[in-house]
Amino acid sequence: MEALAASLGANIALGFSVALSPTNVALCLAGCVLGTLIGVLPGIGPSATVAMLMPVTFYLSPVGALIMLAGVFYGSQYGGSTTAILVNLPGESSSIVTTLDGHAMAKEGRAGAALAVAALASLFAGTVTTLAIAAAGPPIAKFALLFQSPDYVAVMVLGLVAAVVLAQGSLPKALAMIVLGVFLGLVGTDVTTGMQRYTFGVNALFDGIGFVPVAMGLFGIAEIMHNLEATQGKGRVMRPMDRLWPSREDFRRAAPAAGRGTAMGLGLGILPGSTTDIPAYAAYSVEKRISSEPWRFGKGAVEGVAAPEAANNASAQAGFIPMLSLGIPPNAIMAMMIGAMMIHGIAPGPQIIDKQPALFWGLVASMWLGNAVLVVLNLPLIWLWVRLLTIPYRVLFPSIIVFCCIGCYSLKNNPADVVIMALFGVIGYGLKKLRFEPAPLVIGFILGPMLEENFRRAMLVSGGELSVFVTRPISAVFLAVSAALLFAVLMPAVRRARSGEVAG
Amino acid sequence: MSSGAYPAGRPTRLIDNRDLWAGAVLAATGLAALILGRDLTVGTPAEMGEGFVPRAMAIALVAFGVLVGGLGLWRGNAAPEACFDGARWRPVMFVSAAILAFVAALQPLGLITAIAASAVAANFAGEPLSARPLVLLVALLSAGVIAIFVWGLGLPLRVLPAFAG
Repeated sequence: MEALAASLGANIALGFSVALSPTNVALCLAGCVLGTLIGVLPGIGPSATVAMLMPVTFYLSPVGALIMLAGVFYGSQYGGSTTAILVNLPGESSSIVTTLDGHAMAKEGRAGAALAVAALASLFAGTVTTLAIAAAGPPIAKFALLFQSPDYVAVMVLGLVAAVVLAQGSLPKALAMIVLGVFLGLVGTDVTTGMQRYTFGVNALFDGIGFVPVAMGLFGIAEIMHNLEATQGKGRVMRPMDRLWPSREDFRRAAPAAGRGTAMGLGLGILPGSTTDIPAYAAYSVEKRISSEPWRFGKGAVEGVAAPEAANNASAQAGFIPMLSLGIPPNAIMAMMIGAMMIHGIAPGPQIIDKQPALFWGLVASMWLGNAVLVVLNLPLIWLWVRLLTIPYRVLFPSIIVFCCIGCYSLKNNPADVVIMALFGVIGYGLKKLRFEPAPLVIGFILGPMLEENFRRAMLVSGGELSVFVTRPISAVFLAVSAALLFAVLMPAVRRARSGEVAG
Repeated sequence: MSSGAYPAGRPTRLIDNRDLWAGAVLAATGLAALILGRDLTVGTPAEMGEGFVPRAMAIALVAFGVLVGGLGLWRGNAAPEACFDGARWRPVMFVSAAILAFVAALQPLGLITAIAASAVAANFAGEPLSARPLVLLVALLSAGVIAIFVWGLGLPLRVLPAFAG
């Protein structure tokens, strides 16, 4: 136990030596600021923000790129909460709960208090989760090194199943999006036979459909189309605020709520496939249920800001655990992080912690740094974010389009990538109209090639016997859990929770 | 069924059923994948060809399409609004046009022309800007893009049209 603690200490020291290098601190800062900057823009959630800023990181070292992207991710989440509180505009589904009491506080003139509580609760949740990643990542990865190809297939199936089970909306539609994502991920040259699949002689498709154009199109461009349509082309309208610091009473109420929110977020978020909105909803309804004054909720209760913000941050960050230790992305943002790793030539998987300790521990340390930077840097800058909201959307969206085009083009200096981005923008818009979620598609897209490769290898070794998946204990357990999850989701209680109502 | 979700006096029409459309799109995608990939080698489970997994996914897409569409028919339209209520073609069309205009202009005509073309096309997607703010937007955006991407990051992008050097 002592040796374990000592090696953890040494590893965290290594992490901070990487994260605190001047370049990486600057990148973390830049990521947080850019992430907040774009995250506060109305209608642009964390997925779209990360997708848009991904090309900027290609010129960096792999560690620097991941640190910056992680910063962008925290920043955009924080930006989403900022607009939820100030102007009642949640940047993403998980900050919908924050609007309930956060915006109520803002209407009472306590916007500053609500923002500070949201930031401090997130910092607390981020600190606890960072420690959890540092402690849980290496043992999980060590276990995962025992995996053979059938086990990999089974764990990916579990990740994919969990991704749809915990997400909102129709189960068959989410499963269909995964299948479509896997299929799209297989386009290009088959690594085993060297044959072309669905490339139609287009050079740009020989290496497969690029991840960046797909992500930018589905999230960034589709969101612009949808916003323009939903607001009659005007974009969203804002209004100003006044501010105050949280009172002692606010802190007294918020601190335990943040603790409970963190625990729930971490517990739920560690499951592969968790989204951030379920923990946020769950934490909110728990606070309301255990409160001695439940009538205050919805009218500016500070617990109603602290708990969901902590839960949302903890669960979002807990997604790094399966991403870093297994190479399996539990949500769309982690899928983009894996995409960024692969572009830098790093193969995702359990070997990362052993082979690239500087990358893993540097990223872990920078997570904490990113959370701290947000508090120190963003609270004084709130006035700036609010000013930003006054930029009219009709000026904003052409600029976002141009930035997306340049980012996408600069990837390989290939115009075809930009055309693919436009195409996936239209696809993303259509999916939204038909109420399909794009996130399972992106996760399937990332996992598709790995899934196929391991499935083929498993079948080759077993001589075509599917029974290999149930005779190997590791894969049998994963598949049993997947089946149990799918079964559970058909139960009425879980089904009700998935419909996304705030209980109570 | 869920006809109560409709505004009063509105009949339940098949064309309004969102999940029926969703299922049809899935099934059509799967069928297209099967037809376009008909020449790929399937192989045996032990020795899979390049077509094995894609074909399996295509068949699954068709199956999910039938399932989703069938559930849609069975439940009626669960959403309060019809599938295409509020849909407008201008945002989708002109946002796509703005992207395509940018990329078409970029290599032959340079960054500034590309930004101008893109902004003009995008201007039709929403509530349009009048001429003067539009020119100002193009000027500011060009200056910003050149400063960040060309000078700052050193991307090899042509700024002016090819014939202007």
